[in-house]
Amino acid sequence: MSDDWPSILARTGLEATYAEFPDDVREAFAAAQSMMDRIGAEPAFNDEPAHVFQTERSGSST
Amino acid sequence: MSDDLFYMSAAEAGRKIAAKELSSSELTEALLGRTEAIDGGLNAYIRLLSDSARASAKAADAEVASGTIRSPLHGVPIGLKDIIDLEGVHTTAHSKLLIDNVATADAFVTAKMKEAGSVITGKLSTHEFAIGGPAFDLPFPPARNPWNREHHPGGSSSGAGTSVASGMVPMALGSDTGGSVRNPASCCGIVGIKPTYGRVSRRGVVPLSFSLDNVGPLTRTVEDNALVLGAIAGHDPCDPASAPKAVHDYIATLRDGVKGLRIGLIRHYYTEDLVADEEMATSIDNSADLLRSMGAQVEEIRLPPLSQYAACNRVILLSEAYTIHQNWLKTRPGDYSSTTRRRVLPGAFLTAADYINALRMREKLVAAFYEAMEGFDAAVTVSSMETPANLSDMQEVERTYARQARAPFNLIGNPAIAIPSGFHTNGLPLALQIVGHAFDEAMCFRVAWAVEQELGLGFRRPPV
Repeated sequence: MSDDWPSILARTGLEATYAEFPDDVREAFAAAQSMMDRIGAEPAFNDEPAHVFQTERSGSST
Repeated sequence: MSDDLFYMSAAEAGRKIAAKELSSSELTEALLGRTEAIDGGLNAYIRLLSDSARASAKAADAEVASGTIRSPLHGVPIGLKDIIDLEGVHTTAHSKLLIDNVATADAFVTAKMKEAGSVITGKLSTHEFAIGGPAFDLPFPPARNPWNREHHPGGSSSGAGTSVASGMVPMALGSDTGGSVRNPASCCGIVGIKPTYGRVSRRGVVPLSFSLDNVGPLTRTVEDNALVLGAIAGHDPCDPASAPKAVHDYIATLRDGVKGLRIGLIRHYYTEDLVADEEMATSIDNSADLLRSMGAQVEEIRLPPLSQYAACNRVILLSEAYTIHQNWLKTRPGDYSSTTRRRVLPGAFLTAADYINALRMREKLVAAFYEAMEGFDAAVTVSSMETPANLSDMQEVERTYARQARAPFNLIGNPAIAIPSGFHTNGLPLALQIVGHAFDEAMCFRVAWAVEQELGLGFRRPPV
């Protein structure tokens, strides 16, 4: 666990949760660290985020 | 009581009720009796609403007697996943945290089914908050698979899958954020669609992930699924994601066949990105051959790796879910099941930059999908990589849950339907997934119906 762990934990406000379920919180931290890596690609400098309310881009719909 | 009523399709039941060959009360009573007889071993229902269902059926019959037929589903029973509000009834999300939560109004989809004249039979089991897996440390037991009750029925709309497959009810409403309608449909050998994001209102449904949540029907036939979606689809100004799009008559084009259609086969999902069980993979290849034999032009298409879609979906889902659950995770973490707590907590450690970068990747992955689909009417691929695991082996349940190809279509927002494609030699169902263009659920149903008819599986009855 990182030396920064106390401050990381403090930022989330999960100290009480950690006291009760330390393994779950530690595993969650580790999982989050690897999650972005698993996307396996990065957006380009000028890539826009997806806009939530915009499903249709093309297609044969009416 | 004849099995015929237990396994009668919603469409046939609706026709018989309208023709006064069957009463809603007779059908409802049969299904309530069926549920009371078998649900003790399957746990599909959290709350069976026998009295109100009988009253609704009686009212539906009275309307028929006076010449009022509200819809093709008039008088036909339906179950609701217990994250969908029904006024005056508990919505627990299968959680201790909402054990006393009573809905003050109907969800949009509940109101729509009432308008259609359907009879609501009760609230169905779910994975906790539609994200936990099957768990034994919750206020209610997990639903079991009617094909083999030692196995899970998929989820998170688990009770919906179990109840429909076992003949307790012909139709149910579930929700799908990373595959939670299509997974139980696949595991239970029934039909489940995730409509286009925005097609069906989520008002009155316990949220999990704002930009990925959908409500969709589970049924035993494609026709029934098309009827239910037709009943619940439509614009709702009170849901900010609801699209003001015209709703197709899904039945009108259901039987148009696939001759002349161009269908993409996303084969690398189950042969390279993940390697599916051999019988599952063969069933998808066979379905593609079947479509060719019916006159469709089926060609392999390639998308970015499945892992990219899945990981991007995960970051967005967990970031959004954490905003919903953070207060309870800080103050009442012990009231979640261990599985749910562990699944939601990573969202606490994802940053705003992570979330926005995932949204930026989402845009690229959406674009890649549309590029691959250019000139195609629909695409087919696998749903689950294998049949559902035994509930006694939670490690295997966890491992196999992630081995799926459903999350990409939550990420891109397009409609996707899971239908039966045969049976494994282990006796559990195999499933095919069909993906359409945005708001073209009609094409999904058209292809699904053609496969359903040609496979000639009918609906096999599980050993319950």
